[in-house]
Amino acid sequence: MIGKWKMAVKTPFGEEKYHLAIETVSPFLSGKIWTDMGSASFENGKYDNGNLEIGFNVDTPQKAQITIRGTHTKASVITGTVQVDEYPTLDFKAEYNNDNI
Amino acid sequence: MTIYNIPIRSIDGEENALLPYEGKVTLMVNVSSKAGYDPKCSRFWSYARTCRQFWQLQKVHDEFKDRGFSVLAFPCNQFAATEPGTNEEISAFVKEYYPFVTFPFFEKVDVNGKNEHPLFSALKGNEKRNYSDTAADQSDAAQSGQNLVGQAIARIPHGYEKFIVSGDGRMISRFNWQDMPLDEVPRVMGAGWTIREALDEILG
Repeated sequence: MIGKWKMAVKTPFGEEKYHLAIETVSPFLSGKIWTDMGSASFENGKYDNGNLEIGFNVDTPQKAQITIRGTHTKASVITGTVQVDEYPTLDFKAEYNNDNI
Repeated sequence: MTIYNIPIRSIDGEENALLPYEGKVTLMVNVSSKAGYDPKCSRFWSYARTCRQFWQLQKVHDEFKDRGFSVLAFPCNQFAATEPGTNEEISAFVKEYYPFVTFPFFEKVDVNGKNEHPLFSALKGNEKRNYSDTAADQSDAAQSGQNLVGQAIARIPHGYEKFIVSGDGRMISRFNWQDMPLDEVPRVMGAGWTIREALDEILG
């Protein structure tokens, strides 16, 4: 889990790519998610038996709460959903990519 | 004859679709289901931004509908081409990606320019349009609805312009896209009261 991941989020307007860095898993998931447009850190995520949940707030481009829920099914793949506030969830897939970021 | 008698179809093609709302207070809003979408912008945030408008419109629709209120949505492609589809495509897109929306949608319309729908001419107020976007300026830009120099104060500048209309068809209050339905304080460019304050007062 610890390391860098390439994350692709499916939106109604097309796929969007993010970089995800997981820095710690226990006792809490922590790390950073970023694109060319900005970044956000998280530090109180949960990881239990292959399931992870990360939550953080952003102020731009709008105030919002982001929740990422995923399952670490294979060593190199996490799949799950991203949710902004209470809006419909968007599917994502993240692939371990420690050497290429 | 009131604003509710102006002929317009529902998004499913039903004629005179405003008539059932005569007697109700309504919030009429020009919408686009792909608002914020631009190849230079984040697709993720474009969707979140559109969700935010629809979500908050749905919240006020739910909050006030039992007091004789409805949000009425009018798709429009005049702002950055963020509503390019047909009525059928828009309807399907909204059902798939904004499944929480239950307020009614109407046919896609122009809200400015020479092809603007009479409903939006009435909402903007003909009496205020002596320096109108089409009448006062005969340039090609003005005629095509893109007159940035002489545009009328009444002109709708953006998606999600919100008009609160009384049951007898009078336009009571107008809010711009930044005036969000759940705002707790009026915005600088707003009408001096929030949308919820206005609805609460108008509905009594």
